[in-house]
Amino acid sequence: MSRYIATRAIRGANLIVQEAQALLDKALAEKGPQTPVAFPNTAYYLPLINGLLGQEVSTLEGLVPVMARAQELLHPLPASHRWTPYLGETLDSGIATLLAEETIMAVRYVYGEQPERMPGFHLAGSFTSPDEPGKNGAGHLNGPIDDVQLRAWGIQLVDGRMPGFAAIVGCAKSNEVAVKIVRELQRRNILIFLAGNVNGRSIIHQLQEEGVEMGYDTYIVPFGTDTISAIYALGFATRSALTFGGLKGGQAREVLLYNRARVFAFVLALGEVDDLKYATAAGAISYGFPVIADTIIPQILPTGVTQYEHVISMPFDQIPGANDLERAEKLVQKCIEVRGVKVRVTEVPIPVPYGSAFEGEVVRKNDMRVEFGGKYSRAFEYLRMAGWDEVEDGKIQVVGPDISTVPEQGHMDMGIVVDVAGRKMQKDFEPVLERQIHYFVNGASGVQHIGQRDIAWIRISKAAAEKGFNLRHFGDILHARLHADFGAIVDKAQVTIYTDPPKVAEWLERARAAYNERNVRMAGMKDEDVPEFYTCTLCQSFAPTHVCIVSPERVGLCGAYSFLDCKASYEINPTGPNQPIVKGRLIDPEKGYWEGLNAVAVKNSQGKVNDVAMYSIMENPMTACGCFECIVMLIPETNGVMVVSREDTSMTPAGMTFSTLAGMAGGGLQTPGVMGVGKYFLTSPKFIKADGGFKRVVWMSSFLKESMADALKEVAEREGVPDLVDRIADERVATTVDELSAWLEEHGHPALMMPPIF
Amino acid sequence: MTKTVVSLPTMYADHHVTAVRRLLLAHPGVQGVVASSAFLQAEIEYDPGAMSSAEIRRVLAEAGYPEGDGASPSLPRANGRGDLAWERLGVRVTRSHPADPKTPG
Repeated sequence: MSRYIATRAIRGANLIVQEAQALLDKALAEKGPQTPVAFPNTAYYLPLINGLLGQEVSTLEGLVPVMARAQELLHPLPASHRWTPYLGETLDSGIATLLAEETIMAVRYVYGEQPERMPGFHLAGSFTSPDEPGKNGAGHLNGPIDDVQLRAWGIQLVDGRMPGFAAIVGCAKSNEVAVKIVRELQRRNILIFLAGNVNGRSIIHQLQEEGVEMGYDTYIVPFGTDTISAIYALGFATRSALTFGGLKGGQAREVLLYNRARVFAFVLALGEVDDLKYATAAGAISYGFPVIADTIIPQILPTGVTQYEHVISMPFDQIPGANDLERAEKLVQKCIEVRGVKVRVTEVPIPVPYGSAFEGEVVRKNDMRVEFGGKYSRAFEYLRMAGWDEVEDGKIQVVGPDISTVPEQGHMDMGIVVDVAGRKMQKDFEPVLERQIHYFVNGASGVQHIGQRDIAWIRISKAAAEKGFNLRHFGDILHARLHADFGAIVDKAQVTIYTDPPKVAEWLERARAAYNERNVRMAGMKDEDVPEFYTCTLCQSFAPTHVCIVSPERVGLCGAYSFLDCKASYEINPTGPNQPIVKGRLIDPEKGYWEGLNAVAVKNSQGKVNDVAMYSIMENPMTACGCFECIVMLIPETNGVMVVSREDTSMTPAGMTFSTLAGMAGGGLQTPGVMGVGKYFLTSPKFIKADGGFKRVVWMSSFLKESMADALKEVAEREGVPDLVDRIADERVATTVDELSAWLEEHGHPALMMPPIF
Repeated sequence: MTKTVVSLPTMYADHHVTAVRRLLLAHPGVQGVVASSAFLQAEIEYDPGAMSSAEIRRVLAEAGYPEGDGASPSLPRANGRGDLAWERLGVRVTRSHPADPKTPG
């Protein structure tokens, strides 16, 4: 253990705890002890304090014992004349630092100083504090990540698409290096959190100056320009353990061990390291997150608290490399090695950077070179299974004019037709693979893809076009990714891009005929028609006692895995998370009990769950991890259920927001009356069939009503109440049970006339 | 233009760097500030006709950044009785093991 590091970390901890105490005392005197304190849109209170101490702080007064605990964890500076061990002292100081930092941020929220203001700054994608005026954070950095985003990223964290996160603190050597570091991390789909500064300059400033989009959509989250704001990264890590690990507040040891084992994160300190950075790093090390600095600092190499080295020094100018860009690349590589991050990178032969982190990138009209689909043109994509001899692997053809014929910011019709062949390929996999086109194409930097089938809308940016990106590269992307991701079922793939208008029209007709055929086939696929369902234990790395059972009529609760997805996944990886379950003897067709399913539930939940009713919320409902798209919950007073979507941050008639409810629905718990589901399960005839079906829905987030309007209308007609959706309340008309009951009476909701739900 | 270097022991973290820079750069006489929380020092470039070195130090001290010798203020130090924190915390498994000094790094 380095005495130098111990001294500076312990000193930093003492100073920040003093500062936090003084700030809290001031706030208590000025604002009063009962003043509410909260981070926006989270059910975990101040998450790190909640996770480590088990204290659900909601007022300033609640921070008093937190600071007392932080004071207890402080130690004196190591004596200069005597060499004594410091590891325990340093780790204690790290935790004291984190408690103090979260306290400071809570008080800053009380004073309206968070999220941090940065004039002219715009976030890409949603924003944690929707109450702030303006869109996209207008002039504010992100602040803490809310529960909605945490859950939205959950599935990517568990399935490995997002291998971990990097907390970058400070300022890079140059803007060019800052961009390179971020691009290297994005290329590997590593989530990036930004904080801190050196001489007033932060990597956030550097990226902003270089026009790099920051926000949830680009996996780059700017927390703030000081080191204290890095606490949001540790809060995110703590909530991962509480959300997906089924842990409860106060299980400090388990929270730390969970992060060490499952959350692949590291700290990259750019520029000089001060006392607070050392102290915060000591806190991060307690979570098992190593620290890599690009300056000369002492190293802590033996393994122990972290999986590999604890602290690594890589003075930037001493990194071997022809130039700073090469040095930046090696720095990132070292970070990944030290944390043991499992990264899977597919080399895609195109002239722009490529990775999932570019998926959310927006190409604005002013930055656009050309678009396909949308308001002025049409675009479609069609993937079909073809005979072995009909497909020439790697063949990419452009039939019609290239984008060079289109004026700047112009548009053209386009169709992407992909032919695949493979010994294990099945007709049923066509839509599974076709749906991937959206993700595959979106991975190219400077390319935006929205929609699917014949409502695809693709834009190529001027920057991408200037680098040489053209139509042919869509084919290169699809060929590379289909082989990399679906190599077990795709042996050969060829891509034809049609821009010739008569050809586009001809193939569009053929594609539409195929879409219709698939719709009919899918609609006709019933649970009763198949001999087996599939498990999805993808989330067990995060939620060890949860097992999803996916059937033709019940999509996975994350919404990402349908029956056919699971089937394809099993073909790709026969020992993977999606395993077929032979249904076995049917015990109860109404509630959806099968012997085979119950047996699998017992085995895969490690004995926590004995029975699973596929079609009931009131009796043995399926468990959930934390990735569900919606929560369905009984409202006893109304004889019905409400459905709240994770995008909805408002209060529900249950007296809880989505985030609070999620604590009851997630973590592998089986709670009658509460269930996490994928949103398209709402449209299934099997949705709480045993309890009365969709007609039991008395309240639903307006987001769902609007985004699924057509599908819900069909359900209402199927249920024999064509205006049912109009009779379902939402957060705009009812946020209490009394309001809801009155509204249902007024609108004559059918649930009021149905038999008692329990 | 003249430069002066001031030791600021309370500028131990980057949020204080931001505060010191904002404070000084608000004065018309100050042209540039290079502040380091790692070295607890700030180098200030100023116009001596508009602001004196003493005035700079006074402004800093009034804002909670008095000039010092580089040692951080009011910190607990180990004394002859050792680390009293262990008495407060009771038996702790995280206390460093005596064998640790033999471990390199």
